[in-house]
Amino acid sequence: MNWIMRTKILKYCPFLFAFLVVKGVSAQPAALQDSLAQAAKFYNSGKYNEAVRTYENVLTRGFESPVLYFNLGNAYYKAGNSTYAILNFERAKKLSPNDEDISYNLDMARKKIVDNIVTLPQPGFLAWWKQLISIRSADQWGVHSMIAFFIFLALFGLFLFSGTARVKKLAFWISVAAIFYSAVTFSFGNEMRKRLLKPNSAVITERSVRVKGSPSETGTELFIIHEGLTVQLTDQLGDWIEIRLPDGNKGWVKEATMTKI
Amino acid sequence: MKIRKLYLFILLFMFGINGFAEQVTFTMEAPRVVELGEQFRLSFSVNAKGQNLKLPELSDFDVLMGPSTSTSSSFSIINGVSSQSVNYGYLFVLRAKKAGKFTISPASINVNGSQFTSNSVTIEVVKGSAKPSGGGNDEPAAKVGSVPKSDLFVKVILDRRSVYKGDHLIATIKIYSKVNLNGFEDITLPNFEGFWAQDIELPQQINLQRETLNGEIYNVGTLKKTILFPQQTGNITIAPVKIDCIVQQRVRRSGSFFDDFFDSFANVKATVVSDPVTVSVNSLPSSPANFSGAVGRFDLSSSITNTSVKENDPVTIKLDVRGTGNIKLINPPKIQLPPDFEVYDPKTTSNFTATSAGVNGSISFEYLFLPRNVGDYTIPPVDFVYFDPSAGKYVTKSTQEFKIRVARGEGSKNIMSVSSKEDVKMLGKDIRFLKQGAIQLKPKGYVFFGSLNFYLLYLGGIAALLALYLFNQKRIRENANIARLKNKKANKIALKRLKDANLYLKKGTAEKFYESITKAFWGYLSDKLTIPVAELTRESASAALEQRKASAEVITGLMHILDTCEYARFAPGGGSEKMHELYDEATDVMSQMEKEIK
Repeated sequence: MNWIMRTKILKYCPFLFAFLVVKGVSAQPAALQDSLAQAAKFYNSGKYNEAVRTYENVLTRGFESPVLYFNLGNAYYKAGNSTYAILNFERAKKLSPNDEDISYNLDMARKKIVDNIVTLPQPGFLAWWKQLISIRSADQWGVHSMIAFFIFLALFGLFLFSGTARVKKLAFWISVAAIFYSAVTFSFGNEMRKRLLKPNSAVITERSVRVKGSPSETGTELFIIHEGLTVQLTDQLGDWIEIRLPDGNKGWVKEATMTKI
Repeated sequence: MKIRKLYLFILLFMFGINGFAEQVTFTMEAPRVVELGEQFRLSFSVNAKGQNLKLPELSDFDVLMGPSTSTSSSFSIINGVSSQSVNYGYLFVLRAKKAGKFTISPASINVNGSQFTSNSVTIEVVKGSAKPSGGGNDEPAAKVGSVPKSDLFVKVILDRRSVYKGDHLIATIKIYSKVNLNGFEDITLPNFEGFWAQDIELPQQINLQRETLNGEIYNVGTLKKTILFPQQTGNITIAPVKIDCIVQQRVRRSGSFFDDFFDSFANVKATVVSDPVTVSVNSLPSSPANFSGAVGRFDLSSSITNTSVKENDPVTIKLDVRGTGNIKLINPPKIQLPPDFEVYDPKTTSNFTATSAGVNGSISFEYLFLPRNVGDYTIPPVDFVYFDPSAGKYVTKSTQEFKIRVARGEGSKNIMSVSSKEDVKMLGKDIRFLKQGAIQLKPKGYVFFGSLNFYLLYLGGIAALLALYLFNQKRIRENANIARLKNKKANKIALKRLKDANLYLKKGTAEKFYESITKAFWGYLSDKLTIPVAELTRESASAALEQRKASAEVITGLMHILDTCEYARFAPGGGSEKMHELYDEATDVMSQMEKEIK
């Protein structure tokens, strides 16, 4: 019996395991799939409002998916509601940050809104770092981390059991790299998970909003923003929320004027 | 001489025929407006000799005089074509009995045995103004050199004051006069800024006609009639008209009795300016995307030159828009051609006439295109959207759908090879389409990362490795036990085999003897050194023994025994002495090995 073969089995075993787990999670009523197919049919025949209603129905049943948000965003876009198209594309992007189609359609929808705000360039390294973290979703980073961890385990096993000194050495160093990668991606995944669970951005859904300098009706009016704009949430006081625009301006608005992503 | 007479006769005869060949026209004429008590003329004219003129009922009028007849004839040669016309006139002088609007029904006349009827005329009889009718002697003569505004003025009359943008309205410029108008010196017409203007053709001669305005009779001349299409919304003001008129005025010399009879006249220049008028132009209701800019009522027809062509053969689709409205301002409707057709700009030809009913005519758009590739193509119906101002809504007319079959042309392959590659044409921008396939739904807010399953997977991996390690440890332990067992038994088995060999020695069966010796040693080495028998050779055995620190003496002894056995098996006949010797050596080496190898 040679050990290489054993480690191979060890390597594939977790994949099988992971697959089973994912499969188990995605079990869902067949009726939902039927209504999703129905929504796509509405969309194809140009009945965009019906498509919107059907997709929203699935969402109210407590299920979500980046593809679902994407398709709903498309239906809103075609129905002429750019604001909600942006909201749903943002939600899709949050769940699946590296999907090129979602980014494209989000850009298309943003062309239709009133405010044209120049995004403030962030300091080089910080922007790069944030960008790096957000190119994968929490779950994607999690899978990265886990696979790297399994590779580490396999190589560590090889290191323990191998009789040849050269193999031992190689396995050791690669396993160190793997555990390092696993740790880094784990921290990225954790960061993305935090962002996912605690909404830190929102889309303005009111036609036009006066942004105040303080969290009260009597506050100085700083500027006016319009529906469809994506803003960062930086603070909250009662039902007032401090927002930050892409150009760096900050101000307070009522919570009711926006929908969190 | 005779011949010339004959010619003359023929000529006259032909004129006569000419005269007869013309259609008989019988018309009645009367002023449109008269004052109560005023004498006016009712005249009939017929261009052939007639008999038995039957007057219509004239109960509302007094016939003061008539009929007085007159005849006139004219003869003209125009471009070598000669023509002659005669005219017979009948004149009546009438006076209206009461005010109101009266229609004089047609009169009839008999010409060469057939009956002809005239037109009917309508006469409006108004109450006279203060001035007494009859002789002009007592006309209040204004001061020489000035003409009162109420006697001579110009008006711009619009048929509508409020229109949709693009709809038409008719502006008529009329001069109203109560004075003796002799002519115009200078006419400044508005340039109708903000409109597309189309003049309606009027006779060159300005004929003054009687009309009433606010109960007063004026001689009215129509200077200009224009159809206007507003080009902008809001209130558009039409600039005033300015006309320098020449008015003949009576110059009265005072003092003399004869002066009344022998007045002299002077031409006076009078300038009249119209009031500016304003049109309010309403914008059209929100228009559909493919609105052509046409306002009015239109019909659409379309034709195609060829529906079965070869590659690169030109095809023309022609759209004809016919109707009434702002024809000249219609934009060519968009035609949806397949993208690999080469399309040229549409050629526009228009043909229209301006009448009081609006601008009427047609405009045609010719779309020339070249199908570049073989295939069956469908050109979808072309929508022509216009605004119907009377209904106040947009109307869409569509052409039929055209199907074109494009066949491979001769020599087209050469063209293909020259330009085989094309840039991808960007036809439009749209969002990416829906993502297809089954959607993997998951509960809202569920994140695999950080869930119990997630951590369990990590633990599972560690557990698997741990299990593997333990399993391996156990196996190693077990293997070690087997080796120890084999090691322990090795000597026993070897001794038993040697005993067998001794038995064979006594029996004298040499072959079996050597076999037993060989087996005893190989088996012993295999068990002792934990090397499978199949992998055991003289070299591997001696190497393993050296590793186990066996003495060189033992190894050479062993090798000697193995060699001897090998040799004896293939070349038997060594005698029993040699066999005894070998047996003793074998037992020696065996006991020595047992001592040295643990």
